[in-house]
Formats: sequence, C-alpha cells, structure tokens
Amino acid sequence: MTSPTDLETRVQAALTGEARTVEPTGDSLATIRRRARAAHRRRRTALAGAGAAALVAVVVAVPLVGDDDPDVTTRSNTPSTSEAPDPTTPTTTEAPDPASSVDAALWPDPAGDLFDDPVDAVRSFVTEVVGIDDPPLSDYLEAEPGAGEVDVLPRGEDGTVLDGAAATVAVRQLDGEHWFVTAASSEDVQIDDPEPGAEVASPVPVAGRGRGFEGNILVDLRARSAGAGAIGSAAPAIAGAGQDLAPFSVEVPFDFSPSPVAIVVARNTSGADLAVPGFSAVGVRLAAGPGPGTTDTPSGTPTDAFRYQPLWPFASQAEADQWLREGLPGGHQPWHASAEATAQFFTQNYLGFGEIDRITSADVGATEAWIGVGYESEPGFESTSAVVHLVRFGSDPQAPWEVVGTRDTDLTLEAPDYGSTLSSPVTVGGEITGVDESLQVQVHQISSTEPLGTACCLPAGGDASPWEMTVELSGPATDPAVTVVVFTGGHVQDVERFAITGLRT
Amino acid sequence: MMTVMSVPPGGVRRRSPREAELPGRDALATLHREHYTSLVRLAALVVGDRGVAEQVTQDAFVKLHLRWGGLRRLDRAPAYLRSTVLNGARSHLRRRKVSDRYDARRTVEPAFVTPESSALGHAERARVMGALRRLPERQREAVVLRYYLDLPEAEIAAAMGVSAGAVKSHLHRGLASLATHLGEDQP
Repeated sequence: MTSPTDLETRVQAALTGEARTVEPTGDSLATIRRRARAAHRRRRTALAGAGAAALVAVVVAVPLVGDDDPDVTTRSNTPSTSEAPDPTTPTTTEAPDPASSVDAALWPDPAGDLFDDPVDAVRSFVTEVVGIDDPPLSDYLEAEPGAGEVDVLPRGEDGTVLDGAAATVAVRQLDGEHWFVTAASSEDVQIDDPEPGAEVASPVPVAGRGRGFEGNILVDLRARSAGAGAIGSAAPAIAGAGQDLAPFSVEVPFDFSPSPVAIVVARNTSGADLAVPGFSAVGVRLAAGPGPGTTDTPSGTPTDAFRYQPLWPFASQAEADQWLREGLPGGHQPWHASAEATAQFFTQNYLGFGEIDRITSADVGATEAWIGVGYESEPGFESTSAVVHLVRFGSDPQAPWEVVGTRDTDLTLEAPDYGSTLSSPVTVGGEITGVDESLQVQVHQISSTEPLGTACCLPAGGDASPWEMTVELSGPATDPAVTVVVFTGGHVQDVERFAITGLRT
Repeated sequence: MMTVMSVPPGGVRRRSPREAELPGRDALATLHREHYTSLVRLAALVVGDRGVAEQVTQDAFVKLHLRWGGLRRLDRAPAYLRSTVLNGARSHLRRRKVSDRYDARRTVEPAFVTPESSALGHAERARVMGALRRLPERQREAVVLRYYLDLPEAEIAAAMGVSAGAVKSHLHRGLASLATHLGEDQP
C-alpha cells in the first residue's frame, strides 16, 4: 500500500477522534441477553402455534382419512386403505397417534420417500414445492425435542447469500422418527385463508397480506406428492409494492389432483433472477371435485383476472381477448405474440424513445417476460436502457403480451406505489446512480397521443441519490391505467435510461 | 485488527440442539467485550447518532444469538456482526430519509458537529465529519470501514455485500468528494 495522502490522514484522524467520543452504555451486555431471551421465547411461542395448527389440521382431517372408529385409541401405524371414509363420522378431540399425525404434514407425502434429516426435508420442500433451485438454508434450530425450524436465506441479484430470512420453515418428527414440514411462513407473504387443514373445492379462495416487487404475489396449489407439481395457479395478485403489507385475494382453480392433500403456496417476486422469494404455505384437503377436463375455467378461454396495471398495448382484458379471438393465428398485428416486439414498440412508439432501438436481453417464460431494450453506446457495445416486464394478458398460453412495468437498478421510480390511484399534481420519486443526469418525467395513457403531463428537468447524480419531481396533469386520465416514466440522458443520446411505474385512475 | 474467535473442538456445523440454541455465556461475553464498542462507534460514524448506533449494534448481537446454530464458523461472528450492523444502520438511514422528507418541522441536525466540539477547538474534525456526512450512504460506509476500522478491500466488500471493484469505486468517489469539500487536491 502506498503511503497515505494528507487527505487520508486527515480523514483517519477525524474518524478516530470522533469515534472516541462515542461511549456505549455500561449495561449493554445485560440488555442484549434480556432481549435475546425474549426473542427466543417469541420463537418458541410461534413454533408451538404452528404445532397446534398442525394438530387442528389432524382433527379436521380425521373424518376424511379413513379412521371409522372414533373410540379406538390405539391404532395401527399402517394407514387403512381398504375402507372408504365415512364423512358422517364425528370428529374426535383425542390426541392423534403417529399414523394420523403424519397426515398433517405439508411435506413430504407420508407414503413416499421420507427424510431422516430436518434440513433435507426442508430442502426438498423448498425445491419441489416452492420451486427455488439450490435454496440457501440455515442449519436446523431446535425449539423442543423433535420440532424446530430452518430458515430459507435471502439471496441478492448476484447470488450472494444475505442476512435475514426470506421464509422460515417449521419441521417436526410427526411419526417420532422422520422429519416433516408442518408450516412455512414469511414476513413478506402471509396466508389468512384457507386455514391449515381446511377442506376446499375448486376454485380455492386464497386471501392474505403481502408485499413484493410491483406488489406481485403468485399463488399456486401443489399436490403433496413428489413430482406432481402445480395442480392450479391463480393470476398474479397485487398486494403491497412498498414497505407495508397489503391485502390480496385470488381464486385458484384446479382440475385434478393425484393426492387428496394439497399445499397452497403464496410467494412474492423480487424482479431478480437469483433472488429467493418470501413465501408462506398451508396444507388443505381437496373435496371431491370435477373430474379431469371439467374445470370451471377451461384452458384457452381468456379470463378477467388480470391483476397488474395494464399499461400497453391493451387498456383492458376485453381488448386483449378480442385480439386473441380475431388476431390469431398470425393475422391482425401478430407482434402481440412476441414479448420482444411488444417491449420494443412500447419503448419506441408509445414512449417515443426512438433512439432505443434494440433488444439487449430476453428472458421469456410461459406467462412472464423480462426484455432488455437499449442502444449502441459505442461501436460494438450495447447499453441497456431498461428491462421491460411483460405478462400474458389472460390465461391462454397464446394470450398477447402486455407491458406492466420495468425492473430498475440504477434509476428507480418508487413513488407513488405501483397500482396506487393517480391524482394531480402527482409527486414522483425514486433513486438514481450516475453523473450529471437530467431527469424528466412524463405521464402517458394509451388513448392520448400526447403525454397527460410532463416535468423537466431535474439535475441529479450520485450514488443511489433520492430524486423527486412533481407533475401537473393537463386533464383527467380516462384510461383504466397510466404509465409514469422517468428518463435521463444527454451523454450519448437524448434518452439513455428510463424506468416506469403503473398507476390506476 | 479483529480478534478471531477460536473454533471449539468438534466444529460448529452441527452442534447439539442446546448449544445450537443458546451460545455459551462466555462466548457472547467475549464477543461483546472485543467488538461491541468498535461496532457502536462504526454505526455512530455511519448514522451520526449514538443512541441509534447502540440500538442497531444490540440488534445485531440479538440476531447473532438467534442464529447461533446457523453460523457455519464461529470465527465468522465478527464479520457477521459488522455486516448486520451496517445493514441496520442502512435501514435506519432509509427510514430517516423518508421521515426527513415529510417532517418539515425537523430543525435539529443529526450532525457530528456540536457546539461543544467547536468550543473545544475541534473544528478540523468537525469539518471533516461534516464533509463525510454529505457523502452518499455507500461511499460513507466504505470510507468509514477503510479509515476507521482499517479493513482491507475484501473485508469491506464482504461487510457491504458488494464486489471489491465496487468498494474501489466507492472509496475513490468518496475521497474525491471529500477532497472537493475540504479544498484539497484529489488523492
């Protein structure tokens, strides 16, 4: 290391001198111990609650799982499969035996492969049921003999494991030997309904509270059998896009399940590929429902369950449905079938950023896509201006793509919250990292050729520096949703980066 | 430099449940004795408030206590604490940014500069600390970790959860800004 400069010496001396003026209080160790004991008590109480919920689920499940003699207190460890369940059998309040207890397990299926290690059980659950590849997990933390929890650790955009817990998974030796997942909860996503062990029919109403990227909450119904995957999915729900939890409510249709027990999984999204979502899960019992092919929401029919802000090109589900009926295959405006083309046209034609003329990345899934749009910053080098978030507008696999937001990093638009109601004037804000930037904001709606409002030009820069601008609207918004866009440029071309959010009217 | 905790015989990957749940009183006391004060001072330099600094440091120790079983190596405890303290300080600053924006009545500067310090002739320190306070959050963290804790870039990167390249960038920009504010030539 080279010898310190005068400036470094000055900084070092000032920091050292300033630090010496800070003297902690004398009883801090006792305070830490007291707070830690209280925190451990709270965790134990929560785990006990999860255990109680599992027992409640068992009691509810008894008439459904084939025990036709409520007076029998000593039962075989082999579940009966020869007799049909009697739905009129009264419930019992007796303590469940191990064979009944395992039916309260979220995961794994007691009839399938079992786990001798609690962390292995959680890893299997998180991978197969929640769908997180290679989940980072904490060690097992025991709360009482045979019961404890494992944290699913958060992961940053670059795959780095972060501090905290994305979700906490409770595990218990329900048969006295093997480990079963009994509950999963998260501070970000909570399921209030259905309750654990509830008997449900299609479509399953699911309600709770949550927060996440653009407020998106994804809810699936999963069979409790290895490899069965999702047996039903809801359109994305919108909850809180900021720090506060907000309620969400969806219906999950299902058609056929290979298992009488299913798992409702609700998770948020972060907008980053490697991030670990927050999630919660509850187990439910499936009532006899429609057989295969008789679902209430047949595949191929558009639904009106779109939960994002429809920003462009369709203002409503009806418009998207019309294109699906009349535009396919390859007829009227076939570009609606391409996420890349939709993102490109949105940027150039709708926002008017003609210099952003190329696709720089494409991550296209069955129902969701992330498309990078950008420009040639110097010969042979491309820069990404924004990553546009699109979803299919409807449940049909060929439903057209709709722009619903952007994934933002060094230029963000965080206020107002995504999905909040537009009013005039509207104060818009976020953070920016950059040098000598000049921010402009516009408000667009599909039915207007000119922006509803503009604000120009705010000098900005720094490292994640907050910015804020106020936009006065020239008239009332008439479409169901508007696009608010912030953009900056001037170094290489007029518009180099942008970010959007969607507001309802 | 940080003191490295010794690893107990048998390792720490899968300790007995009792051990996993509660750290030994001696281990916690040792960690507290060796690191608590410097962590409070680190947080104070980042957030500019001794009370908040103590709060986020205590939070970090409580979190460590709760996750004792999840800590794969005991000698990582100091790094875990440092990273958690910085996260806590960052969260506090974010909340304060929001409250500052909407609390127009706020008149008390959460500054390092106090009438007492000026009166005692600490103008130079106050000047440097004032310039430091004007740095963006990440640059301030990098400068404090480098010049207060004397950490190498790799450990700063680990504490901040960023790459070593980003640390270099934050330090370079931070020093450049400090030089401008303090009227010095850039390093």
